[in-house]
Amino acid sequence: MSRNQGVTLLEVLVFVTILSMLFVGVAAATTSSLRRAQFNQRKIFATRFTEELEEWMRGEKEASWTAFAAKSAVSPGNIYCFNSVTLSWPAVGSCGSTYGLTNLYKREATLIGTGSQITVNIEVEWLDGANTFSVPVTTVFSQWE
Amino acid sequence: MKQKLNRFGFTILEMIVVLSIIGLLLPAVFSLFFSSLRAQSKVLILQQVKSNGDNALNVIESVTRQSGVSLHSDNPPSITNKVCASNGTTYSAGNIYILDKNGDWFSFYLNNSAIASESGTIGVQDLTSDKVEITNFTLTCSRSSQTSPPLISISFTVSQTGSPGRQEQEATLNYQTKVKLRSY
Repeated sequence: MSRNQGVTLLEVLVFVTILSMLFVGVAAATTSSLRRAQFNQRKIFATRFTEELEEWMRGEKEASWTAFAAKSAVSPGNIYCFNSVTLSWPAVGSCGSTYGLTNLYKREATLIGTGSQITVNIEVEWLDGANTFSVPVTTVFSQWE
Repeated sequence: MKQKLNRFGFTILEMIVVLSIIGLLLPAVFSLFFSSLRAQSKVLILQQVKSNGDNALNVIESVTRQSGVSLHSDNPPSITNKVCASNGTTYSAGNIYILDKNGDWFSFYLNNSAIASESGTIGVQDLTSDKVEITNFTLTCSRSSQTSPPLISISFTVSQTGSPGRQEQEATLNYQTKVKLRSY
């Protein structure tokens, strides 16, 4: 008799609850891992863009200290916007709210100081939903020759 | 009434509804899972590309800056094939031979889509792994004035080996810098 009864409502309910909890759990975990992976990817690119500008700045400094020092000013310094992939000196001015570097990032450099030592603050910023993330780097360049 | 219903179990319609719900849910969960896997492999590829590029640039930059004494267009380096020695000269090539203070030479060049480091004492060694490809490797030297050492511009592009997977964009990073020979 009891073998013919099939599954009770309670059993079905328990099973469905467990199954849906499992699905929701897996979906939530996967979504957060996806977001993290995307964040990591963006951070790698942002770090690369920061270092790229730093290396380029060092090159500019090596090429000509006087030309490089002329780009700098006393505190709060000169701010430049390096939103293009090919690097060259832009006019003084911040990027504002333009995330023009590969349509995702904003790259700014501030050159502070005059004389034989110049502090360079480089920052790459990107938006993810309502959050703003950034990779900042500070370097001090000194006149070597 | 309750007895009777229970004995029938599920009807075919109920089974179809349940199966179709599961059939809709499963692919959704799996597609999420696979896109997460893909994103992670993309991160891994990018990391490889970046660490290879960083390493190669670091080695070239530091060795050239610290040990380089003079630049030459040919091997063995001699006084006759010296480049970027006089004022206002420029030389660009895929391979520049650099002489160090001990009289040994070293050079960096593109070797089957890897950056090779060759020296007269150690031989040839690749600076990048076979997981990445190097393109647009160029070395340019110039000397602006007699009072400053020659300047070498290094630039190359690193990307992952092979064609990128279906949904993945290609991981490509650019590297460029300039170094001065401090021991000149």
